[in-house]
Amino acid sequence: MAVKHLSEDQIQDFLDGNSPTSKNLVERHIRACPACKKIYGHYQNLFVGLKQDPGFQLSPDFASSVISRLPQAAQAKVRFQLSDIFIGITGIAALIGALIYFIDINIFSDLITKIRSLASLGKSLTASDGGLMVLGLAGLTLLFTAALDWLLVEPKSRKLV
Amino acid sequence: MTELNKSLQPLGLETGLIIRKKKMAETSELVKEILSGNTRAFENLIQEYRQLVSHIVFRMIPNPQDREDICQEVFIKVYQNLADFRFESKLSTWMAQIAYNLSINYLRQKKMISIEDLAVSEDQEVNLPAESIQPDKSVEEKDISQRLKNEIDNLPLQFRAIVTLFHLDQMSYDEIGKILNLPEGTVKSYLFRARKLLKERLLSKYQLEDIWQ
Repeated sequence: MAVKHLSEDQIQDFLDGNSPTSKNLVERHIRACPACKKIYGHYQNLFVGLKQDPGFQLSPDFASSVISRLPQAAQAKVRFQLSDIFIGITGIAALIGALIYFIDINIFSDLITKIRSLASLGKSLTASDGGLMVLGLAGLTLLFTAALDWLLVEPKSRKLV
Repeated sequence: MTELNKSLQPLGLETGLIIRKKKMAETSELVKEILSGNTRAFENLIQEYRQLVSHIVFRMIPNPQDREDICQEVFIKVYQNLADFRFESKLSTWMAQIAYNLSINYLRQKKMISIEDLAVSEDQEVNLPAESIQPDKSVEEKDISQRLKNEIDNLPLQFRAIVTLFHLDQMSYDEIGKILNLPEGTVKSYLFRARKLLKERLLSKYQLEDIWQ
């Protein structure tokens, strides 16, 4: 009858202490089977070696080097936050401008007239008014999305890099 | 199992819980101190976590002259973002995540890795560079830990990080998964494959059955 040997995963699991239910079964097999005992021995030694790895040494003045950079780091952080706010506000202002221009809102009618007169210059450069409008809307939507991303999503990922 | 052992078991769990709570309270106090501007407290944090950070950075960055700079960057990032730390994970996990991400960014900037290097599929065979399976005379006299270190350095990036975090820093699959942004099952599978590779490489490269004896 063919002997069913332990898989290497089972042996590793056993050494990690992850198989409490089959612990006795694995232990008994290892004692009785020379082939599995040999593989178990290799892994056992490897695990000891991995645990005994002395790791790496940073220079003795490492902590003081970091501490000396803290004032600059704090200033950089403040500048970073201000740029976040500036970009965000610019994006939101652009969207509000777009809404006022493209959707016929009656409030701020003077402002709309001024924006329209400015945009008429742009419109004259294209063959179709509809094309410019679609292009403008797409651009502003992109700008707004980027601004929202910068304000709401990116800070979370930026802080981890 | 003796009666005494049986009665000690639940107490062990409870003790573990108490130790964890105490540790969390200490970490919370340390963070508060740092946020209030106490530089000495931040120095304590550096001393406490410098080993963890150096394990990750040194294992991932091949250039010795850049390693310490990146470790410094990690602590600077930690200092800048500590106010945003919400205690949703252990401080060590959060810091290890910063160290890992900074190392990956550095390797990308230096064009030392591509996206493919970070994605080892479940059934993909990991092959060794040809020179790494030749018997290496230069390290024959060196001890096993040096041989092992060399072999770990030849592993794929994520395997290296997982082996280090699991064995050197005693982190769980769940914690490692959070750091590397991988599911727990993938972490376990990578760890097992990494150790199998290490065992096979050591046995084939040095052609010694009793390499550790």
